Formats: sequence, C-alpha cells, structure tokens
Amino acid sequence: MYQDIEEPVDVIVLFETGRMQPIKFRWNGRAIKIKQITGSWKSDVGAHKIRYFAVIDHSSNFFQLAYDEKNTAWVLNKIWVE
Amino acid sequence: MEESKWHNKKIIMHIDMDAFFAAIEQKICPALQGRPVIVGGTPESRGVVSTCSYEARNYGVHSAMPMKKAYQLCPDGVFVDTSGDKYSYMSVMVLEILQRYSMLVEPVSIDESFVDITNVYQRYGGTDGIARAIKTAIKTELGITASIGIAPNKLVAKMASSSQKPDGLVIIPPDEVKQFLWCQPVQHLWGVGPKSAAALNSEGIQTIGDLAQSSKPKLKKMFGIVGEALVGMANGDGDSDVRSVFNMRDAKSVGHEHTFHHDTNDIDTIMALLLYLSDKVSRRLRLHGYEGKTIRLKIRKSDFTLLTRAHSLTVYTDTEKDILKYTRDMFFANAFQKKPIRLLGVSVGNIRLKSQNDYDNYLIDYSPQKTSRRIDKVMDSLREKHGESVITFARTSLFKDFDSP
Repeated sequence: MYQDIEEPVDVIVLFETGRMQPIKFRWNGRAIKIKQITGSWKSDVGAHKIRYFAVIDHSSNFFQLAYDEKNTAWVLNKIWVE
Repeated sequence: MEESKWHNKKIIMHIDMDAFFAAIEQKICPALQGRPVIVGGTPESRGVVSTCSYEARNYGVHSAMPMKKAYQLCPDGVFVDTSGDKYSYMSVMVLEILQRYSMLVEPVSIDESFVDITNVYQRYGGTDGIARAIKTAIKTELGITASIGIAPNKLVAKMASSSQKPDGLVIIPPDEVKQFLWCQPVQHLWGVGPKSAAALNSEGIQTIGDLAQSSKPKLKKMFGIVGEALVGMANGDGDSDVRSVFNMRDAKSVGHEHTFHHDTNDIDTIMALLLYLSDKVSRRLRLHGYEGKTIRLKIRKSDFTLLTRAHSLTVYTDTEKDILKYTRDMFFANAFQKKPIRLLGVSVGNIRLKSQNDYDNYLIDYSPQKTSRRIDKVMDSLREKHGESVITFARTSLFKDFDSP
C-alpha cells in the first residue's frame, strides 16, 4: 500500500535535452539513487506548477517525488510498502 | 485496394484506453503490475470504483461498484485513491499522440476519443497501419495500451473498439457493418441501457438485427422519437462529424518564422533557413492532410522594417520544393539587399483539406514534382517513426543557429 510521507528532500537533478530528471535524493539519512523514472506529470497549483516524478531505486522500491516550481523545493510525497 | 472497401465513406477511429486509471497506476508503480488494482479510494470509503485493472475484473469487480462490495469480492486487491491530475495529464499525452496522425480528434471523455482518419489513413499503409502506429506510440511512450475500432461512423467505431479489449483492433468496413452489428445482443447497441433492453426483449427483440428489422411505428410507440432513431442505429446509420479540439479546420494559413540570434545578410545562412522553414511548413500541412496555394514570405530587417510578399499558385501544394522555390524567388525579387535580416517567416495560405484523389495521383505519376512528393513521404514516415530531427535536408546544416527554430 502507499504510505504518505510528505517530507522535504534534497534532490540531484539532471537537465538534459529540455527534460528535467531527478537522479538521486537524500531521505532518512541515506542517499537513494534513482534507477528509473516510471512516470511523470504536472499539476497546476494556482499560477505555478508542481512536477511529479514516480521513480524506483535499484531494489525496485517505489517513491513519488514532487517539485514545487514556485518554491523550488522537493518533497517526497509517498512510498510503496508491502 | 483498401480504399475501394470504404466507398468514399468517412473513416472514423475510436480509441478507448484499457482500464485507463488502473493501467497508469500499474505503469508508474511496478509493484502493482499483475495485481488486482482498484482505483477509487479505500475499502472503507463510501465511494464507488472509478476503474479497476483486468486482474480485478476477474474477481467480478467493475466500475461504479461500491468500494465495500469491491472489497468483499476482492479482499486481496490493491485499493488506491483517484489521482485526477495524473490521469488528466496522461489523457493530454494520448491526445498529443493522436494529433500527430490527424488533426480531427474529438475527446469524448478522459479515456476515449474519436479520430477522423479519412484523409490521412493511406499515408500510414491503410487503416490497419495507422491503428497499429498509434497503438505502438501509446505503448512505447506511455507504457499503457488502447483498444481501437475503425468504422464508417462513430457508433460502429465505438462498438468495434469495445468488442475486443484489452489491446484490441477491430476494423469494420461499410459492407461488413450489418454483419458485425446484427448478431450482437440488443443491449450492446450504444445508447440501449438495461431498461430499454428489457423492454425490447419483452417484445421479442433480442438482437441488434431484430431491432434493425423492427417496425418504426411500433418502436416510436414504445420509446417516442428515440425509437425511430434506434432502428437507424441498428442498421449502422450515422454520419456525425468528428468535432476537432485542434481547430485547424478554421485556420486560414500554416506558417513558421525564426528570428536570427544575430542579424545576418549571409546568403547561405538565409537560404538554409528558408529551406528549413519551407520543410517545417510543408511537414505540418501534410501531417494534418492539408494543402494550400498562396505562399507568403515575411522579412524583418535589422532596422525593424517589415516586408511581406505573397505568390498565388494555380494548383494546391504541400511540398517543401514548391514552397522553397517561390519563397526564394520572392526573396531575390524583392528583398535581397545589403541590410542585414533579423527575421524570416514562411507561410502557406488559402488552405484546404486534401482530397483522397490527390494521393492516388501521385502514387502513379513520376514527374519531378511527384518525385519530390515521394521524398516527402519517405521523410514523413521516418519522422513518424524516429522523431522530427531524424532526417533533414543537408543544406540546412549551413544554418548556424539551429537550436532555436
């Protein structure tokens, strides 16, 4: 099931060919390297956008990250736990 | 020839995304793949199932079922909240893919659209070819599947897409419509709900074929004016247009322009840009099945003075070769002076939807202009498959600030 987290996280991002790709983030004192972005979408919050990234790490753990364009801040929204 | 099967009828495609919300959830979270996913909230919530994966359907779960009932049927199901932003975004992505193939795209809901492919299907190798190209693009780019029905009207196209899911493709040419419809139970007809079906069944009307051959006055008596319409629908009648969200039908011209990073009067650079712009404009015309016969050139000089010139042809065109020839002629006749140029624009006006006959002509004509059309066709097909930048004209390499047009 999904578990809501909603904690600020630091994210290393690659900007390449007009695309924004998170590649690594720090959460709970550990660095998590992103193996694959499994989905991305945007939503409008008033005049600014939140960009969402569904990602998995090398152990296939799922994380949903959100980037708030207005506040230039990242949040870990939720994780998948069995 | 496939064209003869369609007898100059419209060719309408219906695209129905398979278990759309659940499929998106399974795509983005690999842990959900292969599991019964039920979208709509928690088992305790008072809501209903928005959609569910095919694995959940095997347990008897379906859309609009109360969540509690879904939990009773499928206690091991994965229950997830609805995520409107995510689904809307993916829906727009699907529309963007469809609009690459035809400008006549009408979304009917977040996961269903009609596409009029009458003027474009032949360039993708026929109805089967265009459907498979769209299914592949959706699968490759979004990681989900769609079922497609193709028929002479919306009603039959929608029923065709529903008849083979998931990941189905059903093509019903005009002369197979009755055969396709008539053997189906009457409740399969779009617009016939359970109550209407029960009323029809009580009158001995079990199949769509029974309905098609029923007396109109009798059905009018049962259902009012709708009764008569039902008979028409059962016969596969229908000719409503696909109402495009991409409203190029009202557009008067198609154009592109570019402002140089630095004002220039270098003739090689200017000619390379004219070629690039002509290619872009012709590509867009062909992409949407249009052609035009007024070619316009726009030049803004370094002092911001603006020159526009137009040339009307006697015949319609959609080729880069024609557009480039006349823009180049207009450039040298009117504008080539020492003063550097800031911006160039090329457009084609007086546009119309291309008729199918034009395609037939160039397939059998080997004149130089038709050869150019065949080159365009090859370039188009490469771009459809590998992206816009996969092939271009060598001369455009002389244009130095290519990153920005």
